[in-house]
Amino acid sequence: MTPPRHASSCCTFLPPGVLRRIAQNGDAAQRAAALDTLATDQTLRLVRATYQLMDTGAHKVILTGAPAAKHRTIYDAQNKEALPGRVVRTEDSAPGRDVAVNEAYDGLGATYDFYAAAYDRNSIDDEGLHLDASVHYARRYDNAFWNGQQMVFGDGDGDLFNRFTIALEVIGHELTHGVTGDEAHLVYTGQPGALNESISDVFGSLVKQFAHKQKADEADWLIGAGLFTSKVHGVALRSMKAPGTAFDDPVLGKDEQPAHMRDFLHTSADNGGVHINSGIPNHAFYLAAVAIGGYAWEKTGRIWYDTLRDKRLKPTATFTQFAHLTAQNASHLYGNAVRKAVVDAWKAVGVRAA
Amino acid sequence: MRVTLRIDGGLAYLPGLARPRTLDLDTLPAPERERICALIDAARGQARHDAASRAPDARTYTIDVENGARSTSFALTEPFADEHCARLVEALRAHLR
Repeated sequence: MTPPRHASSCCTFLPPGVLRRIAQNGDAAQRAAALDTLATDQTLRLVRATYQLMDTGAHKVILTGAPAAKHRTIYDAQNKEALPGRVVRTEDSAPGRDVAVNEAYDGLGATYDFYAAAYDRNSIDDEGLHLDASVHYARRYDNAFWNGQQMVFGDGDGDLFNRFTIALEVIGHELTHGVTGDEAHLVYTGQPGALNESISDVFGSLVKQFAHKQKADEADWLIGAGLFTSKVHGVALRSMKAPGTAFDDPVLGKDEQPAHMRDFLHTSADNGGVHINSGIPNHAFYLAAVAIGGYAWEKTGRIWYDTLRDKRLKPTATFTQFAHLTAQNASHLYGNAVRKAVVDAWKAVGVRAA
Repeated sequence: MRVTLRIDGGLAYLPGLARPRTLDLDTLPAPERERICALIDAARGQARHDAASRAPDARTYTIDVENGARSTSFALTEPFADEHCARLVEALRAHLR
């Protein structure tokens, strides 16, 4: 809709701060006029962010080239399904008595800090997206997910699962789905879906390793440690170090993750096995990280991060195509010795990277 | 009437929970059977067919309903658009636990 001429001209007399508020809160014509004016004299970064605002309705996009800073808001869904719920903690406020609230707040912060320090990334979208999370979602809810705008955590059923804020790597895993959605758009089925899941496991584990200052050979490489109650025969949801060994339980069944392409599971379940076959690239990352040594987020993590952002990475990428890019990025970043460690890691899981 | 629930997705693939499970509503007390039937009627209208576009790690619940020779199937994807969907999944999972 074309804004009325007088609305547009009116906006030109207003300072940028007021224009931004109109762009966020005004009616359709006012927003269009404000955005038009802002677009005339702001940077391309601002233009992109403001039009994102119009397209998505998102209410917390940073509208200027803001300095990197955390902006966390934790909501209590009060065991209902409506999102986001009631605000219970905001940035720089003190911890309260609710463990899930504090774990969500700290986990969002640890993930933000990891991406900022390790890869100079300003939040999920590298543009300072505010980090929102709802805890106590629904009743006996045994899952956590990133819905494209915020984190959602259940309390677990108390029988098999504890609260889903308990594992830092799960928070890192879910927020990394936001990063992958922003960078690579890997389709969520088959091999690209398994790569999508693996990338979340890789950086979820690295968030925990970074927070604990663990080197590759000191980390547990588990995803979801502590999620199971004591009734479950298992240590976690997945193991990157030893895929297929995380749980073996009468109720949950046995961990089916393969560690090698010869055991790749062709299935229609789980979107073509996205949480199953992710064991293969997960194990390749683990092997590369241990071979390269030191802190895994430094060299191995950087290689995987640059591959995630590589323009040549297609949404339909296969394991082989992803592996080739990791080898090329390893060579470009660190030379032949590190490239060989990456190629050997992929070879060990049955994927040709060169 | 028989209702089969299949769960896809979630943070992890847990084969024991992913296996389709069937509830025979005729074995339930009449008030509970009627409550679940009402929830099925209400939730069916919220069914989604865009599982491919759902959030990663959100779950899809596929519900097959067999009533004599007639059968229908619909899928509910998280986050639920309607409270009836949540109550239906909650009730089915509680009975099938």
